[in-house]
Amino acid sequence: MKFEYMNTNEVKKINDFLEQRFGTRLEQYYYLKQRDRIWVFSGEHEKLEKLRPGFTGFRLGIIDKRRSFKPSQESSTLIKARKNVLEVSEKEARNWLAGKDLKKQGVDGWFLLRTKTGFFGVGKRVQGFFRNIVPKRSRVIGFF
Amino acid sequence: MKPALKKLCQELGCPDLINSLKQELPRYIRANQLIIKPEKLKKVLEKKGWTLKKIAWNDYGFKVVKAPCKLGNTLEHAMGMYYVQNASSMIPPQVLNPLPGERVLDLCASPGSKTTQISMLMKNKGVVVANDYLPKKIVSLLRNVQKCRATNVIGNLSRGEKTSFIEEFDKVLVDAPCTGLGAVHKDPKILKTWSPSSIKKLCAKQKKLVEAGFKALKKGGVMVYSTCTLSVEENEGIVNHLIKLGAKVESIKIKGLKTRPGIIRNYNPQVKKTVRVYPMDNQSEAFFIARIKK
Ligand SMILES: C[S@@+](CC[C@H](N)C(=O)[O-])C[C@H]1O[C@@H](n2cnc3c(N)ncnc32)[C@H](O)[C@@H]1O
Repeated sequence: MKFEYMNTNEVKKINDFLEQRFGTRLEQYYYLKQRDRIWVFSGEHEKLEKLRPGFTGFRLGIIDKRRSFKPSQESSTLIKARKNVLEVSEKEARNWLAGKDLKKQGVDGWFLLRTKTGFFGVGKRVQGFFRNIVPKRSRVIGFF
Repeated sequence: MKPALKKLCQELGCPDLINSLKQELPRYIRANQLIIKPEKLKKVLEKKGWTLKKIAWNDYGFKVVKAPCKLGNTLEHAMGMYYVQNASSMIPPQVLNPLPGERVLDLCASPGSKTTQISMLMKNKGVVVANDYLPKKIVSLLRNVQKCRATNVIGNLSRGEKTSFIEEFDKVLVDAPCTGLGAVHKDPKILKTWSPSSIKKLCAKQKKLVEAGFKALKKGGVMVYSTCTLSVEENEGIVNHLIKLGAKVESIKIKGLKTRPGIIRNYNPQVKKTVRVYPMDNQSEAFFIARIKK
């Protein structure tokens, strides 16, 4: 598992996406990559050679097969979005976290998902439909 | 009851301690201040039928007086707004008192109750190297770190005793593997496996772990050694070993928490400054905590 600091160009690409889509940049972090995974780290610049890292900070997302950035569910809390935030009901949020798709009409593209209390996920709408992308291991079963 | 256990209870001056260990304890949660203010969390959950009571010895822990569901099965939990954590397990990070910007080593970190609390106390600023020795332990650690939105933690896979950090950290937590008598209320089998030979084996490991932790600590830095067990060898005995390596034991005072002093036996009298937390005193798990200065 090799972790590497990303170069300025790679970091800029992600931030350009965040700015274009959510009207914000996340420039206060160090960015690291490990295979297709993108991590942000708010600490000091760590020399990783001395460590055997299993993770380095917070998983912001992945670079998918088409080389585009796909934010993680939890990143919704970190990205202080100024646009493209979709508020849904708690029932819809529970369904999403349990692995169900979400139907909501509107324009296509990435959205941060929230309820009135807080952020719970990220999804991409295609023709009024958010296909569920919550990883199986983090789905919540038996929701209250 | 095993004779060794009986003897231990007598030495601790609490003949009835084993029964207290078996008794059911209240459940607790810790508000994750990286995401939500504790008062706000209380309001949000109480609107949904919970009853929470603030614990006396910190600003972010709550006793769950009433909950309408399993504590981990809510939207708020999925959003990382709180972490289910026994009240006693919140004490070692509190005693460690990590500050924003510091470098902290958490040598036996998984599943990360204390790591995520440390990160919260540091407001995500500075570095936490959270170490554990099995890949699957790092996976569960990551799951909690990610859920709590902690961004300053590096998960490190290594045997704690084999790490070779030298005077690199301002603070070090060694929350050691132990015989776990404090968890008997959840798992009564622990009483069966607890034995002088299991203690001996764990002591050897604990000694190596604190040696590595102490080596990793900067001069003037603070290390906390904690366990959730009662055996004197695993607690004061290990602290005595640290004193021989040059450690100084510091007193611990936490308002609102009832503690008992360390057992001196034939150890250096400094071990008296360590604290023991018993279930009948605070309605929380048994714990041992030592604050060490280099
Ligand atoms: C008491 S638990 C730690 C609980 C954790 N600090 C928390 O608050 O969530 C002890 C941990 O030590 C780990 N451990 C056992 N042997 C170890 C070793 N040689 N090096 C590092 N970690 C070890 C275990 O995997 C276990 O996760």
